[in-house]
Amino acid sequence: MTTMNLLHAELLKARKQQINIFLVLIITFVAVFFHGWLVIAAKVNPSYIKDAEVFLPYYNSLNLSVKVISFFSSIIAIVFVANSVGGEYSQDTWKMILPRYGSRIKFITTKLIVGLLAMILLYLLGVTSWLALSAFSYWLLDLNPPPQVLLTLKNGLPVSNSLKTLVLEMFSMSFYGSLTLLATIGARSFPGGILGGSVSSLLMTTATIIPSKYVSLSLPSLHIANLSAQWMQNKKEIEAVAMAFRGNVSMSVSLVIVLAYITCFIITALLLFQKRDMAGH
Amino acid sequence: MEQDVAIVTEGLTKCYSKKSVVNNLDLEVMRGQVFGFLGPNGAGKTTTIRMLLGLVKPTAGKIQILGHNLFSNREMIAKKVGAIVETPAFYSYMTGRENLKVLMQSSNISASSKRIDYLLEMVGLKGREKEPVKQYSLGMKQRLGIAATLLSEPEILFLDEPTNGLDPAGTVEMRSLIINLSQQNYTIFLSSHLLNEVELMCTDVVIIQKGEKRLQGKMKELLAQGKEFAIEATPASLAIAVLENYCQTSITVDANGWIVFKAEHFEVPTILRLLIEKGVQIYQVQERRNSLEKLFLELTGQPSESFATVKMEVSLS
Repeated sequence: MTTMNLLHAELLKARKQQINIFLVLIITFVAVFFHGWLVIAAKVNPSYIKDAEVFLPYYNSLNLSVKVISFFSSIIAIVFVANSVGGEYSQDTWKMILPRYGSRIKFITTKLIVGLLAMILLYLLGVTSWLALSAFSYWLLDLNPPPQVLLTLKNGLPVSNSLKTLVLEMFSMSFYGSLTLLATIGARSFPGGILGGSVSSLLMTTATIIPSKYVSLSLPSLHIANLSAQWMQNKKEIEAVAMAFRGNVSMSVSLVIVLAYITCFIITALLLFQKRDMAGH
Repeated sequence: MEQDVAIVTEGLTKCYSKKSVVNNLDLEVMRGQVFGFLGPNGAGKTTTIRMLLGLVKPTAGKIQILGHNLFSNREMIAKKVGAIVETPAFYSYMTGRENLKVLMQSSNISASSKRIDYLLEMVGLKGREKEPVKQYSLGMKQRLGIAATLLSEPEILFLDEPTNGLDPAGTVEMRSLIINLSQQNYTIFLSSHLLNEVELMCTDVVIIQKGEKRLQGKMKELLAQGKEFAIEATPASLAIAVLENYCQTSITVDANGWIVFKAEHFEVPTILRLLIEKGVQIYQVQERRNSLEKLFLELTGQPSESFATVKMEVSLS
């Protein structure tokens, strides 16, 4: 699949790329802005202390951080993959690295592996820093833990739910990442990848309003939502997804459909990359 | 004999939408040669190099590198080949050293600081290696490109227009770097517009036009062909008559009034004696070697103005 040397090379590139640093900064900015605003508001106006007591305790903070980062997850996946693969086209660096190693496919699979690792890292970093900021804000405001928090701590940490969310987010990111990979290799550029990934995502979201069962069943974004709703046992979401599908769809069916999409996107992208000439710019 | 061959192509052809860019090209490059690959713009030089590197797939034909088929032995061959294709491309957000590290790892070799230090020293970038590549001049990028080609200790170097865009000082630096490499027994496949450079550095040369080979041979032999001599003599009409009679070929007079004739080196004393005996006054004799530029222009029919600039750059440097 790949080699440690190729992995090291990709990790160094990912670490140095300004756009990836920018992605980390955006998440950091959102976390710092939210907590900063909450602390200042509670210090200036005591009526906000109630809000702080709701948002800052561990359980709620974890849930909120997961929701906020999930909001950015598809954007992160699209930008990361488009930049990682498209950047090589934009800077014409494929011509420098491809003659150095026999297998073109290994370069792409390494990029996908590093992409997934980077997304997990970004996700964990985001959640951890959010929790740390919540704890710091909690200490700054000298809050008394409400009974809800005591109950949560008594019952143990909600790790399983967080892990489930992480797995679901990684799955969703893998889908958007593979879609963007195909778009980037197809367009042979970073902007083409961003545009292809974003427009396809937008089309899938808007296509849910088409009143056709077959269209709904073919939409991977709806299947990802179905997986999330059923695995997290969120009744409201289960009902909403069932309504969109015009019937119930099992988790395993959704899982197979999304996996088929991911596999199909990656294989097509690899074949295209393998077959095409690197004729330069 | 086969072990001495570095690159062989047979019937190499590349077509884009039915238009052939490289047509039935047969090449043979021996190990240790500095092989000049020449042709006017659009002749198919870069496409050929890209095919030899596996970046572009040929429409037809065979490529053997170091005795192995390129397409079935890519992994093994890749480590023995270093290349600069057109302008060297780097990750502009990384330093020179980081770029070399990434490129070394991309060859599936663990990054070695010693090797990187040695190469940076060799190309004269020591002390500048911690600067981002976006701050490098074109000359520095070209030198970093040469260092990048040598990372995996290759046997063959493909240098496609390595002096492109360089100022005269950069051109001289690059020339000395390539000459230095050629003395270290690398097989160098050099594509360049700078015919003077190629003439100085290459042992062998091939000229292609419209994707087809027009000429291949040893540089010395090609330049020795059609050696000419010129004399400044009066009366010119008498000198021309004597020379026409002796050489049995047409004699020309250049713009400066020099009488130009073709002859072998050993014939010159006889010809001069004959001219003097016939009453011709001889003031100067010059040996005029065939230049690669002349040969190139004769073969390709290209206007010489694109090379005038090049010559001027070289003479200034």
